[in-house]
Parts: sequence; structure tokens; C-alpha cells
Amino acid sequence: MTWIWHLCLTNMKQRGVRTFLTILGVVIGVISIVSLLAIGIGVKNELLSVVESTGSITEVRISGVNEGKRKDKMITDRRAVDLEKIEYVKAVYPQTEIFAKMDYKNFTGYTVITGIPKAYMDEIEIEKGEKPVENGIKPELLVGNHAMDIFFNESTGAGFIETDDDEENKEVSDLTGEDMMVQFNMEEDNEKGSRLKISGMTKDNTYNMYCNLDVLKKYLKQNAEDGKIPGQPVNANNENYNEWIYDSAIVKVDDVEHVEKVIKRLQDMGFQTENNKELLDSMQREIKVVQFLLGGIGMIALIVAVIGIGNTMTTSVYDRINEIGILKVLGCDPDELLYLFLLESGILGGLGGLIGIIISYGMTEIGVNKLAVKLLNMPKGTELAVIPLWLAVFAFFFAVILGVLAGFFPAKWAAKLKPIEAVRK
Amino acid sequence: MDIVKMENVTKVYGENETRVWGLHNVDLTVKQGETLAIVGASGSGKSTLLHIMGGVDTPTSGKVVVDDKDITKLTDEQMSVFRRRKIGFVFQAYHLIPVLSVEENITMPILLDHRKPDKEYIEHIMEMLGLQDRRKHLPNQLSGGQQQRVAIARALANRPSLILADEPTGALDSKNGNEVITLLQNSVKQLNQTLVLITHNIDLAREADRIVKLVDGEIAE
Repeated sequence: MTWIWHLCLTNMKQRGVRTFLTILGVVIGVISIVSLLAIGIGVKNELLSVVESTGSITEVRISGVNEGKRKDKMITDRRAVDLEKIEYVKAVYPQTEIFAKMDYKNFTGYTVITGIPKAYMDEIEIEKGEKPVENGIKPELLVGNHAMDIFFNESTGAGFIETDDDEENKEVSDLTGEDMMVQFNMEEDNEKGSRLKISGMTKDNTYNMYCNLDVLKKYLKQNAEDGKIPGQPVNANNENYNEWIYDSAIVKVDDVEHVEKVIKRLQDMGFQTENNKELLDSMQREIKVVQFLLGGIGMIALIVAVIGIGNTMTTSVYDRINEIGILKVLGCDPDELLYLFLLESGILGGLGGLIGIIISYGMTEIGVNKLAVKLLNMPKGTELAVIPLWLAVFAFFFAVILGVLAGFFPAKWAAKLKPIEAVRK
Repeated sequence: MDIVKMENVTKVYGENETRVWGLHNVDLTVKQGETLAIVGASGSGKSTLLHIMGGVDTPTSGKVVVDDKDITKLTDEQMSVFRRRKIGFVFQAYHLIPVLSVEENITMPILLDHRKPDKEYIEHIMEMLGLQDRRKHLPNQLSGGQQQRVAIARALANRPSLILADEPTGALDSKNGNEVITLLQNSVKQLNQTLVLITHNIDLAREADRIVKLVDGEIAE
């Protein structure tokens, strides 16, 4: 077999210009298909991460009815236990949402603080600091890393965050360990405020502010006025109910596939539902169209490259009819002759594929993820183009196989030539 | 011992009205160690006879036995094996592989047979043909005479049963031609090879053990 490799490589070296041009054709084809697919994948990932950062797609948020006599639609601890029994539901985390006016230095923000159970808190990833305390008299706050975006100076109108840069924003927003003046339920003009400590910052890009549910409940009960707990509804007698009424609950579904069924069930029970799956589905449909278009354009480029290899191989066979004849007269096996030409076109395809993949990595990293992202004013680190390993491996073998296929017919023809006819030409 | 035995070999080109006789009922034997010269006018069928003997062309009818094997019954693959093991060709136009060096061209038939070249023997042939200093050269860096010497070395490399030379000096001037033919004949004698040679040169033909003349595809003694 060694002579085949030797003859094949010597031939490619001796006919350098043609080898170079053919490989160039494949390189261009591979670059177009790989980078276009990479952009498709990158854009999809970015969109999905946006959807995911605003809430997991297997989570359904339900809100209860807190007024009137529809006690069956209120969310209570007992109700949560019932909801947990619904098929496909993994867990139910009831939560209390309470309006708050918050002051930090000269800046004020109007927002909602959400008290969540420990089990749900455990699922939240933090970037800085630590989770809020689980017992104690005062709640601690875990803030989303964009929570400070809504703070502004009430007299000058200046915002707390004055930058577009995501990293810088995160740094400025990191108030871990600082205190904040908080007034709960400001619509009742509750002037009583208290100092709450910020225990940490979440990894997600959200405006959310969390605290431990049990601590919040205890704290609100302590701050009841006229026997009424801030944020809790009252019954016909203008008294709080004797169990805690939650504003909403997060229903966790075991699998994305079952989300729709659970939503239907919850809606039948009279709850309002919020979920990201529908948004995600429509996004994915659009992404598929984009990917299909991008891949199609790349495919055309690759087909052109394949025709190029086919053309090179055909001329290569014609140019070397005499050489083929000599090899046949000397007693070269027809199968080995076929192998010689297929090897050559396979190497052309493979080399082109390899170089194309390397250049694609460079182009997407520098051209798209650095330059284009900067020009489009996107946050640093945004990956608009991603080349997963499978794409690189696929592109390589695709190039090799197309190369071999392009060389197949000329090679087959060469192997079938009658030795004496070939020598005479 | 007969190394080649051709019986009733006929080669016809074309069909019906365009039918041309290449060879017509040729009977011919070649003995082991013999040098046979084939002479004849252009188109008399010399090359066709040689090609059929060497298994690069097939007869329309008749029997061709080389080294006790009827080669008309072989498949393409078997024919390839037969050629690389039993036959050494020398052509008028040298037919070297342009991208391979002198040494690589000479050892090619051995490599095609998936064997390791016998270094000593290859050295011996190159020395005999005065090619030691040219081993790394490419064919286009050599003169015509030198190229033909490489072709002869290649034909000898596999120690074939039969060497077939089709006007080996046809493309050379008389000085180079004589030199090449002397080398060929000396090598054949030294290695006790059988040689069938086509030539126009009557002086050359006279040096052979036997001359066969072809006229219009038939042997005219």
C-alpha cells in the first residue's frame, strides 16, 4: 500500500498549483457552511438563554384570587399540597409578593419583593455573596443582577445605572453586604421603614428581589397594624383569614413535554398561568427557518466546491492517462488504481475540510463574536456564532466523503481503461 | 523449454466492412534464454503480436501459453498479476512515471507486487546500466538514452520470464541506440533472460538468435 500513498502525495506535490486551487475550493465551501451553521446555532443559544434567564421553561407561575369569597381559588399551604398531587407536577412553591419602596443612598426603586420557600431558594444560583438567612427577625434580600436598573434619583431623575456594558452594570449593581431602606406595601402609605441587608446577587439577568418566605411571613406578622398583616387580604368581616394567603405559586413540571397538559389542568381549576414555553416554541420555529436558510446558502457553496473537486479529478485522470497505462502495463491491480485516485480526492477533501474548519473557528471567534458583537453594541461575551464539536467533526467527514464521491467516477473510469489504449494516448 | 507458445492466434479489429486483420493464424514459439527479433513493415502486426504475448491486449481467437499458463483465459485481475510477475516491457517512448525518481521507477513493478525490493539486485541492475549516479533524478532530468536505460532496468527488476521490447531504440540517435541495445542484450545474457525485440534496424536483428518477419499479420519465414 505504501507505493499508493507515495505516488499519491508525490503527484499532489508535483501538481502543486492545481492541488492548491482545489483545496481552496473546498476550504471556501466548508467555511461558508460551517460559519453559517455556527451563526444559526449561536443565535439560537443566545435567544434560548434569554428565555431561560427569565424563568425556567418547566416552571408555570400561577396567581391566585385574593379578594372576594372565592376561597377555592386562593393559594394556601393546603392548596399547595393538593396541587402537588396533579400528574407530572414535581413541586409547588407558594410565594408571597409584596410591593416595596426601596431607598439606597439618594436612589429610590419601586419594586416587588418575593418571599420564596427554602426549597425554591436552593435552586437559584448566586453570583456574589450568599443566600438570605432562613431564620431571624428581619428578612435579607437576594437581588437579581439587574435589580438596580430601576433605581433612580427622585429629585434629579438620574439613574443608578448609567452604563450599557453588562459587566460594568453587574459590578455597580453588586451591593452585597450593604443595607437598604425598605417600606412595605407603600400603597397604604405605610411610612414605617426598616433597614434590610442585601445578602447576595443572583446569576440570572433579572430584576427580581427574593427573601426567605418564613422570615418574611414572621416579619410581616410582627409589623401588623390594627391586627392586619401588610399584604394579606381580608374577609367580609375586614379581618385576615386564619391561614396565610399566597399571591402566587411556582408549579414545577417534571418534563417540558408535559408543561402544556399541566397548564390546561391549572387553567381548568381557575388559575391564571404564565409560562415561557409558548414563547420558546415560536422562537424555535423562527430559528429553524433562519438555520435552514443559512445552511442552504452554505450548502450551495459546498456543492460548488464538490464540482471543483470533480473537475480537478477528471482533468487529473485525463492528464495522467499515459501514467495510468504504464501502471496497468506494469501490472497494477485495477482495485489499487481505483484506490489511488480515491485516496487523492479524499485527501483533497479532507485537507480542505480541516483548513476550512480552522479558518471558520478563527472567523467566527474574531469576526463574529468579537467584531460584529462590538459593532452591534451587544454585551461582551455574547456568542453569536458557536461551532460545536459535532459540527466540526461532521464538516470534516462530509468534506472527505464528498471529495471521494467527486473522485469516484473519474477513478472508476481510470481503473477500467485498457492498458494498451491508455499507453498509446 | 518453450517459454511462449502461440497457436493460431488471430486478431481482428472492427466489424464487417471495416474489418481489419491485425494478426492472421500466427503460430510462434519462443525458447527460454533465446533472443528473438521481430521485423516487418509498419502495420504488419509486430506490436499487436508483442502486446498479445505480454497480456496487455487479447487475441480474437487462438491460444497463448506463457510459462505454461494459457493467458487468454485469465481475468483482468489475474492478468495484472501475470504481467507484473512474468513480463518486463520496454517501449519506444520509455513510458516512465514522470513524478517518480529513477530508483522509484525501477522498483515500481516490485512494489506493485507488494514485495520488498531486493536492494542488492536493484543495485546490480543500476550498476550494469550505469544509473547509480542518477538514482534521485526525475525522468525529465535525463537524456533519452538514459531514460531508456531506466526503462530497461525497470523491465529487469522483477526478474520476469520474458522481456518484450517494442522498438527500444526507435526514439534514439544511432550512437545512443547502439549503446542502449548493447546494454539490453548484455543484461539479458548476464541474467539469462528471454528477449523478444521489435526492430527496424536490420543490423540489430542479425545479432538476435532468431528473426521472425511479419507481413500483413502473417509470419513469412
